[in-house]
Amino acid sequence: MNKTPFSDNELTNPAKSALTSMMSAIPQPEECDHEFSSEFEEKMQDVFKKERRRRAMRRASKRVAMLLLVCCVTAGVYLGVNTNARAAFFGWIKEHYENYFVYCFSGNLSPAAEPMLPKMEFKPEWLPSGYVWDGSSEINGQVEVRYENQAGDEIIFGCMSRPADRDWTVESWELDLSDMTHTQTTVHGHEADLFTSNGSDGRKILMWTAYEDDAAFYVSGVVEERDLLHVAERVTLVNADDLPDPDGFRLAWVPEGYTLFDEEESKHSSRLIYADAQGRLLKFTYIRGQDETNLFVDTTGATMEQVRVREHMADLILSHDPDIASGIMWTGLRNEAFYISAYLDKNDLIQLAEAVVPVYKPLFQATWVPEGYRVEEILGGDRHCTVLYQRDDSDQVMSFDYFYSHSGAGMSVFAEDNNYMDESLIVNGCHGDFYRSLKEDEGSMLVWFDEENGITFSIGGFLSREEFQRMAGSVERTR
Amino acid sequence: MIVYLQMISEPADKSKFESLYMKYRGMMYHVAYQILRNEADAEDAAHQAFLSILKNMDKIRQADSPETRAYVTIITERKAIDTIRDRKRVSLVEYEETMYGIAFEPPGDHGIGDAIAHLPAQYREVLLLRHAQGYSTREVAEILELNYDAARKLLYRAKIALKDQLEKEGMSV
Repeated sequence: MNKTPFSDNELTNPAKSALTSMMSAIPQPEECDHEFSSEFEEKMQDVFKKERRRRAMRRASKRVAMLLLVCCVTAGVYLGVNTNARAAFFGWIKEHYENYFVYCFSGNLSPAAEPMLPKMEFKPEWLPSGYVWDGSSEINGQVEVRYENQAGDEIIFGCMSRPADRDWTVESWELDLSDMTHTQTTVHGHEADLFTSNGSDGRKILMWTAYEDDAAFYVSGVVEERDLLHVAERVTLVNADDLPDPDGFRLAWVPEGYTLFDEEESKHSSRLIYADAQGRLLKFTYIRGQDETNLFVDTTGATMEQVRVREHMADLILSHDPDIASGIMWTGLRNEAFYISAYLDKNDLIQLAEAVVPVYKPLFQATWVPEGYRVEEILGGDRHCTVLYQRDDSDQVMSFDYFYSHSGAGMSVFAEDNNYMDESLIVNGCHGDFYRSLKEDEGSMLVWFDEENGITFSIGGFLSREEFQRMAGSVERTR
Repeated sequence: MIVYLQMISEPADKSKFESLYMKYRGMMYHVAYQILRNEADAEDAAHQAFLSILKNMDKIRQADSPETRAYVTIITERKAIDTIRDRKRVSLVEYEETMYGIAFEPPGDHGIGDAIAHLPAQYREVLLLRHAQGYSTREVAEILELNYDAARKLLYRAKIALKDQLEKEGMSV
């Protein structure tokens, strides 16, 4: 862990003074008049148009909770206004009010229908002297383990792993943080929040995330800060057997100036090759855990060093010859071997290694898409996922979305200006609705409901009715 | 048009972005021009800054506020410097460590505030976003379009540069 010479508190006021000085050198917006070129204005109109849609789509994966509210509030209103428009499926209620179609799920799902989220099990391998296990509980995926000493003092270890929404906040734990002072620290290099009671009891809570934000932890107790940090640093993954096999790995970060140059794929290994403007290569290789595959690295004339890459020990091979790349290699949770070679220093190599993230297929996937469309982005997780497609020869986008619903949750479709036709149809044996836009430059949407498993599917884009149906018919569960 | 309800641009966001655009576009051009001294480049930097701001609309609470004015200024300065770097095709570290961006008088505290004002733009910006504007490291990463580790590393380097600057100015840390 790097120690910096300034605390946050020391910097706040001077930084504010510097910002005030800087802003006093900038004229007020009202004083800045400029007639922009038509090119600029056109570009900005494009920005308004494209980014509004794209940004809204990005948010789709985070909106189920908000839709719950929308549906709960509005359903009652619609009932009073337009009861004729109601149509009830098994478990689903569809409401129609002016331009809005609202779908709410009201059925009961059997637990078996919910996707089983793979769990990770953790425990602290060290506790202050005298503390023993006193009990544990699990509510909504939040595990809490209590340890107690003979004096009745408690240490609580809390853990959440692999949530649908990885947007962790300290509020995620629903702990009482009132009358506590907040400071920042680190646990194995991960940013952590330490809360210390302002009262005389000396209670402390330490929160942090790890495993590429797959897991969030807290430890609380009436103990010294040093001991609390030590407990945190000894939290160990003890069971990850039910982790799904990733479909691959990628680098979430590469140094400035490097772009993807080539990809090589063989039966047991994959390699991504990046190059910078000077033609220097950065190679990321991973080998799936196979007995018959070996990775040979020539270390002649290099210095070997053991370093930590997240939770793994890695071999750093530092070249002293500017014409020979340095490298870093380590093994992952499922015996994958990783190797990165690049003309970079130690810190950048470690940062690169820590930027390796698994890639998973969505739980459901369309095995057929219209020609020219390629996956641009996959958002969300197993319970709720949006796959965005971009057409190669235009800026047209298409989305495939599914989410597991629970009672009261739902989605809404908005049809503007009545420029559409809606039609009920059967998709994959399920009830569905097709909303066809009557305007060429506006997209259409197909929505259908797997009522047995409580899953809503939808496809939105510039497709024909037949293409919508063919794509919907190709949707398969991937695991 | 058929879209999800959540796909409709929300009135609040729409009006916020449009308000930002109308209010700050002239100022953003001014900030960019001060650095680039070229009309087309300044417009290009302002355009890039708008794209960046749009990606991080959730970081802006209110269009018309001193915080937002400062935020918009910092992003525009960053994009103007990016424009220079792209034009010159020089390496990031080599060039950015010599780029001082917006010219302004230090606050005159003969201490950390003055030293921050004297830092190269990339270090000053990250310190101002984190410590004056109060964004978390994760938010700073999103604003500057870096990954989390890169943002953390940049903050660390900025603090080291600040320490060096203070020593250069004869101040003890």
